[in-house]
Amino acid sequence: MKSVVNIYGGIVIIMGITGLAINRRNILKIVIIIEMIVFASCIILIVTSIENNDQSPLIAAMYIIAISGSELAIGLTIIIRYYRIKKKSIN
Amino acid sequence: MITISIIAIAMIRRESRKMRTVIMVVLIITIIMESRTSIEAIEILGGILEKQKEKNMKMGIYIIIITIIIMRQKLEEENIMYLFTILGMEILMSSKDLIAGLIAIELQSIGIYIMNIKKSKRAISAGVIYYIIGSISSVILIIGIVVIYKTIGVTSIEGIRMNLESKGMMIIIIMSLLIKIGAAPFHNWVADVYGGLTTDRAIIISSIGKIGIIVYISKLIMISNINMIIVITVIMGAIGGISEYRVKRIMGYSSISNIGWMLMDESRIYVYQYFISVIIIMMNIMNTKSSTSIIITMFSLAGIPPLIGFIGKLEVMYKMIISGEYIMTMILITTSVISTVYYLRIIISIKKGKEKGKRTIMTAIMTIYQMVYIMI
Repeated sequence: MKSVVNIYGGIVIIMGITGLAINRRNILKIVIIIEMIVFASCIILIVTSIENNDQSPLIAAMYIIAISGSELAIGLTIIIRYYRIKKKSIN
Repeated sequence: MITISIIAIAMIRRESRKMRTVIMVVLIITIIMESRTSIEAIEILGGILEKQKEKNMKMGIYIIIITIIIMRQKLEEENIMYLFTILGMEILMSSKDLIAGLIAIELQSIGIYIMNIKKSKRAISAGVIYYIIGSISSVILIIGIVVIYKTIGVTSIEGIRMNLESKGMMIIIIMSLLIKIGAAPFHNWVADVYGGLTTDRAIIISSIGKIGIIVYISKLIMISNINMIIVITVIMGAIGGISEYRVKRIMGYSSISNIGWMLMDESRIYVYQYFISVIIIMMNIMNTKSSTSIIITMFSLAGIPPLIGFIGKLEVMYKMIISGEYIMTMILITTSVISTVYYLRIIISIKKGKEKGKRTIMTAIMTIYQMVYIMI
């Protein structure tokens, strides 16, 4: 079961990286892809902490979730501001 | 103490500006005092932070002085973000764990993202570019941390240095940091961001946003070797600037080639002289517009002997020749000669016009510091 979750996280990360490479038009899609990669790597960290009986990756996962949340909030602010000034679509 | 005073600044209303200035000055002094003397904080954070060294502190105090100069011009809520970025930079310079480094990088770059929000079209586009680049680099850093933890089981830098078998593992983390400072395969955003932003924000990105990461990357370079990246960086910085005609974009390409030198050997004199020169030029673009100051600084960046830029380049080359890297030294000298072209073009176009600018005390002092450095 644990190895299945590991493989799942790896697949999501690879999907995200290919998405970053393919998609160059839409800012919102880039932000969504970034969040996807972050949560997939958090899943891998949590499974690793169960395997190794180690507490530190849990703390690391908490830090990473908090950081990416704050970064996402500021990013949405910037994108809304950009949309209001440019008066066009976000592409 | 720092958090309490930050909250106090945030709670004070717009009317009482004097009070906010007073608290800000107190906050700066506490940052200086605390990072120097507080032993308890070092004991608590000893797992993830190194003890503050003297050389790191000098650079931090230097940046704080520059910040005070910039803050004198207008007092707004954005100044709290300056302080956040400085705090992040100081934590980053003294961090010895990958997760502490991640938190510090985010702390300094979130402040810069907020400061970049402006009303003009060009500035907001540059802000969006900087945000996208920064978030992609932080995501790659997270992936690198996960890969290293999965294979080795530790995240502290000393533990990695003891346990790492293959050097290719660190390349993900180093790649994310190189994206952030704009080294060569990832250098396309630099000229756009420098050219688009307002000048005071360009000062922030080129000084605070890069010093901390360069100091942090110099701890990781000992683990893996990046000579090839340095060669590409220096060549792209020298060739790319030749076809540019705006001063801020030229300064962007100049920053690319100088970052190649700093990655080669992170000597303090070189880092100092480069950031002093950038700040002088940007201040001259912003308000003072004194032509002698720009000319002296350009000669210093090009590496003409009595000035401080020559001494920095001399030190880097001396260390490289002692350690026996002759080919790298030749490549660096050649590209430095090529990049002299665009510095000299700025000087020529200045000498064609007449001098109209005013002289202020601050630029005069900094320019004289460049000239007289050799006597001190």
